[in-house]
Amino acid sequence: MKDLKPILSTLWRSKSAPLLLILQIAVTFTILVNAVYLIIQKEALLIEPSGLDEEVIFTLHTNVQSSEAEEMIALVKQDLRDVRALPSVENVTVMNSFPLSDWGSYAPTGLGPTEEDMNIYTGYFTGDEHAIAAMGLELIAGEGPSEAEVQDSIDFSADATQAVVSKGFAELYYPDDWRAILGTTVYLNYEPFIVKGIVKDLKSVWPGWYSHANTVLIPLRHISSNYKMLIRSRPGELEQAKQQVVRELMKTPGRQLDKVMDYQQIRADKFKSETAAIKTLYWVIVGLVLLTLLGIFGQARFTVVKRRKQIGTRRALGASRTDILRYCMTENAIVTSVGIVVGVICALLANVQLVNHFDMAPVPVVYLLQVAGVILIVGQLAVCQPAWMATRVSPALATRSV
Amino acid sequence: MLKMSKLAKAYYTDTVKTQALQPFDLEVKQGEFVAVIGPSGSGKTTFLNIAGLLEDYCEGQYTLDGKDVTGLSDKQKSRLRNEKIGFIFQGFNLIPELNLFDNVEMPLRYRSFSASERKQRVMDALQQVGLASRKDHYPQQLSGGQQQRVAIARALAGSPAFLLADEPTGNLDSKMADGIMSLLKDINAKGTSILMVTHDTEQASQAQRIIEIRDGVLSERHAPEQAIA
Repeated sequence: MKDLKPILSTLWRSKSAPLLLILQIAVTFTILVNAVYLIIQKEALLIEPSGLDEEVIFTLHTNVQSSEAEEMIALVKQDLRDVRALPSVENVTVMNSFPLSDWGSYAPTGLGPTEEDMNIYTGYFTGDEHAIAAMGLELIAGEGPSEAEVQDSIDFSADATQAVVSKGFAELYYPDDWRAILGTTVYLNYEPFIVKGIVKDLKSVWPGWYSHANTVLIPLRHISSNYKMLIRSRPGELEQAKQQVVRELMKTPGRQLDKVMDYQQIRADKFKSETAAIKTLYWVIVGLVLLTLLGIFGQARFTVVKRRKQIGTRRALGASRTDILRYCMTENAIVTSVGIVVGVICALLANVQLVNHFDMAPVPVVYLLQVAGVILIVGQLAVCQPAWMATRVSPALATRSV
Repeated sequence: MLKMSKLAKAYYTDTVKTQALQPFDLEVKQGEFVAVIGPSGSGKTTFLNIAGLLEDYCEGQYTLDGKDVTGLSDKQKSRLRNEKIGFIFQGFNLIPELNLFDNVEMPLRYRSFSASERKQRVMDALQQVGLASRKDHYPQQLSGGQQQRVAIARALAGSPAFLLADEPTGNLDSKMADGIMSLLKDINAKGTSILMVTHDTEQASQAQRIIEIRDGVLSERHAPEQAIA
């Protein structure tokens, strides 16, 4: 670092151009850190597991060809039997909604029946005795409902008394020993339910919701004039299963099928806006990095052109090409580093605002370090060509009068 | 100390060859003060650049302080320039953003001197030109003559084998020019060889030898030894 002192002296004596560059780098850094953090957070949402075995599952909405409750129940059961009998179908269930779908339910929950006890909202699913297996949920404690325990419900009218909860839900009330919730009574919408089983993971319909991991599954066969079916295909037979199910159901006169969607599509639809935001942020990052690269490049090139005589003098006085290269790279590294330091302060201040206004988690230090590394590398890359140009300045320039 | 044998320089374009310097022989001995004169375009600067290892020559042999410089790499020539030659330019070529101390120290930074040795050398050199007390000043705070003194201090700080001065008084008024010439003669009197390119015959006459370049041809004019007595 033998060039450090003269570089610092030079920068100090002619501040305006380096200051502008420092400002640009600082702004870039600030935006970059927060943009990268936003992307990472959004991407984490995109890949967050729902708890379902998504690769072999598809869902559909269909109608019941009756308005009589008893007949509706019988017809739905028949539909389920018909679908389950198909060779490509491994299991099927009827649910009120599906994780990540466009519609869902939530209920106030608590360990007591009073309003004060109902202190948190949780995702609320209903399903029959096949629901856990059909979704591919992992039952990690207790047991799922038996056929006899499942009640038929027209518009949530049945009185269920049992519940399977997600581990997230259990940890909410029993953080030290989540298994302790088994057999206890929890209150959903002021009604008591005995916890019968715990599944490892079952997410709500709303990613990013504070209670996304806290869900309950009630043993109800929820039936309405337009009910929802979740079908699990045999491994590798998803498309085949879709076709067979559609063909089978459409045998019924008056049948309407809607939203026959595999989970890949459900996920893509759910995260359409996030995906678009991520793409936009990526372009913002690319644009910013490019702008910074061009800014540093332009500044470095201008400096070299302006200092040709000075570089020639240095060469004449004994600087080798390597010395000149090192000088240019070091000078850029110093300017970039100062920009990064200012950027770190600005990024943290901006992040505090994001945290306060959008309930985001504070940006981890590792992102600051990573973005700092990237900008430092970009700075060094940008200055390569001008620095190389500087090494080509002939020492004979020192004796020329212009 | 400096020996050039059958040295020549030509510039080439696609179709034209321009002979800048005809083959010549020249030897400058330790402690000599040699002036090189000639009209504009005669090849003075080309000669100076070759002598200072700033430019390559086309043919011949050049030995500097006993070392044949033919075929040296750019890095080796840089090192040799730094260690053996002290440059004094017509336009001083000081770096405006650096103070006098840093300007004089600059070529020393390309050598393996310790910080304390660099400091000692810089202060000695500034002392020698009478500007030690202004080490923290910047070039633009000095007169032209003082700036050239700083450039001379920069040239001396590395204890070179010889000084190569390119029109050292070209940008100065006559009083300042006299001061610089007097300083150069003092330095020469202490044993440092000087090769000075100038268009001023009066100043050239103060050297021990005068080399004249005319249309690329070098010739020894006369040896006015009495002039520096």
